[in-house]
Amino acid sequence: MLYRKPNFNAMAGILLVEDNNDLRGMLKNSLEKSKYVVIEASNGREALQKYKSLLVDLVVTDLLMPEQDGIGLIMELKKMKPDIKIIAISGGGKAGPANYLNIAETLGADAVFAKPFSLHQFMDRVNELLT
Amino acid sequence: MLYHKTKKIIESCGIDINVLYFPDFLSFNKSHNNIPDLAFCAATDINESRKLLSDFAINFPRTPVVIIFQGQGPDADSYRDLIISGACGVVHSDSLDSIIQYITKALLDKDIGKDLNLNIGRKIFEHITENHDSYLSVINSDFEYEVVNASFCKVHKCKKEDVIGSTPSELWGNEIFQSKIESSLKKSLAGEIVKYKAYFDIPGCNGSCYEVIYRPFKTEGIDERYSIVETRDVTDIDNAEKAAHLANIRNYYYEKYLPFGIFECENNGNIISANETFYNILEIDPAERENVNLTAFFPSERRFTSYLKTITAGEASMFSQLHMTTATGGEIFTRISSHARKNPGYGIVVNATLEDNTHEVLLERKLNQTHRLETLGTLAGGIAHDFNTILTTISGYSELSMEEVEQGSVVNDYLNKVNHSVKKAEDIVNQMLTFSRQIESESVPVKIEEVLEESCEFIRSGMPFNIYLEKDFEDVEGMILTDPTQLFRVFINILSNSIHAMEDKGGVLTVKLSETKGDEGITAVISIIDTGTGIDKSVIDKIYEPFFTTRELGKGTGMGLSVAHGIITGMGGEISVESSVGKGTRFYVRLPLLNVSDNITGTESSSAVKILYSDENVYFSRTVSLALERLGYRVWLANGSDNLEEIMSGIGSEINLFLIRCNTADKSNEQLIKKILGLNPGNKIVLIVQPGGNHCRDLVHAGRNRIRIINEPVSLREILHALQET
Repeated sequence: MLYRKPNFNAMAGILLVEDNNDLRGMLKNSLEKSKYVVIEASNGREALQKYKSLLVDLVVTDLLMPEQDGIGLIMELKKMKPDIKIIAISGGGKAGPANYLNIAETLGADAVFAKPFSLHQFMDRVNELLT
Repeated sequence: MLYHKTKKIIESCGIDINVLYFPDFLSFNKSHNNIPDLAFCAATDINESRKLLSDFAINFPRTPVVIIFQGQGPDADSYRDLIISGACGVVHSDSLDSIIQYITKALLDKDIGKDLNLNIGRKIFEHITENHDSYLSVINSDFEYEVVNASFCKVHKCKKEDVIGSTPSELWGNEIFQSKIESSLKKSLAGEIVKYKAYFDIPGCNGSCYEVIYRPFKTEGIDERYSIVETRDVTDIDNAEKAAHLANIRNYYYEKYLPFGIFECENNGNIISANETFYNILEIDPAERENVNLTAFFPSERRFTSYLKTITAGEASMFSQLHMTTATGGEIFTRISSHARKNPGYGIVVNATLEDNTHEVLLERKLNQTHRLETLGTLAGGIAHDFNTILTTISGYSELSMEEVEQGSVVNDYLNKVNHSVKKAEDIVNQMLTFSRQIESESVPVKIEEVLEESCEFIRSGMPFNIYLEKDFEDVEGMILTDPTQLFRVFINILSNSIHAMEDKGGVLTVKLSETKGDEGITAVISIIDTGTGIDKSVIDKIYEPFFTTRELGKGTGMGLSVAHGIITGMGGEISVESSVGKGTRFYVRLPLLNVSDNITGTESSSAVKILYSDENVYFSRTVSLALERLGYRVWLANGSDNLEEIMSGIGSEINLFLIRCNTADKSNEQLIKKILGLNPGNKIVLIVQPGGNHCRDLVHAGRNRIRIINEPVSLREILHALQET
């Protein structure tokens, strides 16, 4: 099935930014299973510190986080590397999940996922973006 | 007092007149030359006077006796009877002119000259009146002042010798004389008593009220006529009278128009007195205002009645939000402020005000409820956000695990169940987000009858046979701007509660639609009325709170009305409830209507596009198709692959856009998709998939350009977006 598909882009680097440890762990497991190199960060500021342009091909980021939020992170990353691939995920908030995701899309996120989302669909998009 | 004064005057005048004052006549020297010319008798009471009079007559049979008395009323009249007993006159001690008249008469009898007469009179008058508080003056027929007293000179700041001989017009000016003095003076000189009260604009007297009396004075034997003018300051008396009058008026208005009820009652609740408003508030008929007892109006409220029982004098207190029932059965909330006092004859008496603040209380309750719901909404929204993250983790691990185990194994089955539960949790989270209005939805113009009709039809299918559904839809011209799926949920939630309330005993479920015109435009009013168990008063304020349910544990989520409230409030509408235990419940949903002239047609690009829509969930498909039709699509509904061919043959090859909602457990969709793709190379599919399902993926991969996938939960906007792009 899906994961038996050869991963031509093995060793591609993904910066995974999510403040919830459990979800981050789950996504890390899934991404590493598909042979991606995962760099973890629990908020936007930490993500910017760990971001190495040569290593990171894709950034997966939550939108509502302490310290620096995902929207700010996307703006910073796009400034540093305009062609960086970004997947935004969000579980909602005051303005509703769709709103934050709309903003992320406008700012150049390649894909957006509202929590709860299917891991399969998420992995499909990751694979697609890194092909 | 007075006769001592008189005695002094006569003595000081050196007039040869023998005046006897008794009861001291016994000391009078009864020699021949010493017979009194006139006697004044002042006794303490009438019997004594009578006795003294007869004693005196024995001693001095020829001397006239004048009885001087004090007091008023019947006493005065009985004194006058003494004339029969031999008195020559009866004079009230205040009546100066009469006393003077008797003295002058006695002088005339004694044949003392006429000239002397007036001088004596004047002297007596002057002496008596000198220190009188009233301003006294005597004016003769030439309008000249003959006599003025000290008070007169003092208040007018003039000297006696300057005034005497002058005229009022000289003293006050011609204008004042003509307007205020002349006519009264003339009348009194003609023998009439003139009496009036006025505010005089005399220097030094501003703002004072005066009573002026012009008394005619004429003595026998003298042709000259005089007017005795007495002026006294009655400002204090006048003010007191006015104050009393104002107090009467004020009391009348308190009684009649004050928006407070005012009452006095005994501590057993018996009303002693009360004003009009009190009776009006309690709706007591004018015929039944005798023997009113306050306790009868507190059927469910013990606070005030128990306070009455334990009250002590001097105690003051206030009760608010007192729940009262009026004489006609109306329910009101009142505020009573009271003060207790001791009152002979009644024991403890309570004086109090009664205020109807029903409106205030209801408004406050509504505000409280709104505030509470907002707080809960924020809380629910926050929880939902966290739950979404956790659910993603659970479903993710579950999906990962499913990759590790064989299809059809027990563990795979277990994991499917995990996914199934995650799905349920997701539903609840979504409801919480809906309640807290954090779900974005796309509003389109919707005809409200259609959604209401759909809801009724949907609910009818699962309705017990003992419930009868009655529909009463008025023609509502305008449309409402809303997400029809959400509105459908609102109606379904309310209707299913109504049905639940009537489940045991059956009943009538009435759904009404009407419109009202108000300041803010036209509003559609949807009434959902049941004849079920009703909602208890103690919980009616809580029904919109999330997770509040009266059903058994596990039977209801308690989110139904919370969701309805969230959706309706989000649409700018209003939801309200009236309920009576045992009788039933009425829900009212008010939604603002769009003006008919507003743009209500769908977008150009979507008009007349034909869609075949397959969905096993009737709830979902009906609203989606309704919304799509509203936007100008033509929609055919199919129930999975079963009746697809039938529909396809019915409409021919015109249709080439398909909307399919996949069920996780259903494999038949794969056949359906294959079939559609095989029928016509131009056929395109929008697939709504549920997270966790992976059965369509290979197909999707194969038909990449012709299939577009959207994930649940979907909004109408997302579906529309996908359809337009495909």
